[in-house]
Amino acid sequence: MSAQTETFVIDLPGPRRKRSAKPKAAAKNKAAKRPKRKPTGARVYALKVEGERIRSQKQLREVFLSQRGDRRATLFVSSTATQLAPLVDVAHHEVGDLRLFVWEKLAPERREYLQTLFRTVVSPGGQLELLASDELAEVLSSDSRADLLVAGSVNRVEGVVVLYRGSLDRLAVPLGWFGRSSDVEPDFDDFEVTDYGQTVRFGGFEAATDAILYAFDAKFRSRMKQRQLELDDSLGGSVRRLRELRGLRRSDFAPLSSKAIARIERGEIKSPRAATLETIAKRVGVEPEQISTF
Amino acid sequence: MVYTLDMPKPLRDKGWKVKIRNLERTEDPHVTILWKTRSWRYNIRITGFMDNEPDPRLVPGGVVDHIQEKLDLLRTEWDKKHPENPIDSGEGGE
Repeated sequence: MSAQTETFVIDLPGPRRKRSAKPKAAAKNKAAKRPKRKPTGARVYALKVEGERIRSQKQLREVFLSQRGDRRATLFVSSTATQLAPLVDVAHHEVGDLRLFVWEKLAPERREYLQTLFRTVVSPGGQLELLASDELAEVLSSDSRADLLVAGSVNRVEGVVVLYRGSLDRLAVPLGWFGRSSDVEPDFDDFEVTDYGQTVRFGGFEAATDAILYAFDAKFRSRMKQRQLELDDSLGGSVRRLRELRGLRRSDFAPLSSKAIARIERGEIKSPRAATLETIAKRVGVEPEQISTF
Repeated sequence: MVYTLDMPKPLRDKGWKVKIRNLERTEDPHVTILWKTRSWRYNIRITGFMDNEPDPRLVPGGVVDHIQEKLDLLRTEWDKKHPENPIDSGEGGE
């Protein structure tokens, strides 16, 4: 599982309405009869995102400033940009690695301002293709959101697609990389992120998000390799686990060479000779027939 | 084209999908079972789940049964999309 970022969902109350001149009791009675207003539009989706709720301007400023100097990424989710207005007072402070997702289109000047506060700002509009809103809310709430995509934009001039992960980290993938060994050519004019961020679609061509991350993110690749090694139930996998358990190096199995041990671990030698297994077993302190049980 | 297995309605309504995408991690031939933000790779050469995360037990038996039922079709589709890694080339291989 990837490292999780902290999430704050900004949900400030709307502007206060003028008080009615009616007597208090009558107003109270009317309010009781009125059905509770349900969130609408982008707020519906923003409130689906799991995270700590920010419900006042004071709390927003405090949370924002508390991230100062924090190296961990923090994700803020907001249905509108106007909710971020209280940050004007603290804009001059140095802050940490803050990322913002806003569910509405941003005017260029507002985006420019927000980019002084947040390292990454993602919102609909421009060339950016976003995941469908209901799927987006699920991805932003997911523990594995850094391994899922929320948006992307195709840049034909540079020949890349810039993909945004659920953590709002960016990844640039050359368009040429997609066009290999397939029965269909990717259509870069028809692009979307789909399947809850697990697939990138170019026309009738689809690429798995994990295949993209495996190719372009060394940390993701190493995590997947580790998972694969843990799953390896071959004799080679058992030898490797036993060796690591005992804190031994491959060169610690004399008279066997470290190269021979590596070949056994990789599965290139599937059935080692009995004498070889005895040497390994003796060195790791088990009976030969017990090796495969590790 | 991506291949999407036609699912029985109850599973489809619950959001279960089975796909062979054009670009997958190059390992044993497999289909990907997708449900919301989760996915499972199911080996169609030797049949069985390829990963233990997420827990394969979360996948309804009906999905696996349907894959088994359509195995020949899925294998044909895999070979069409991934001729460099055909079903019958890796028996006993890594």
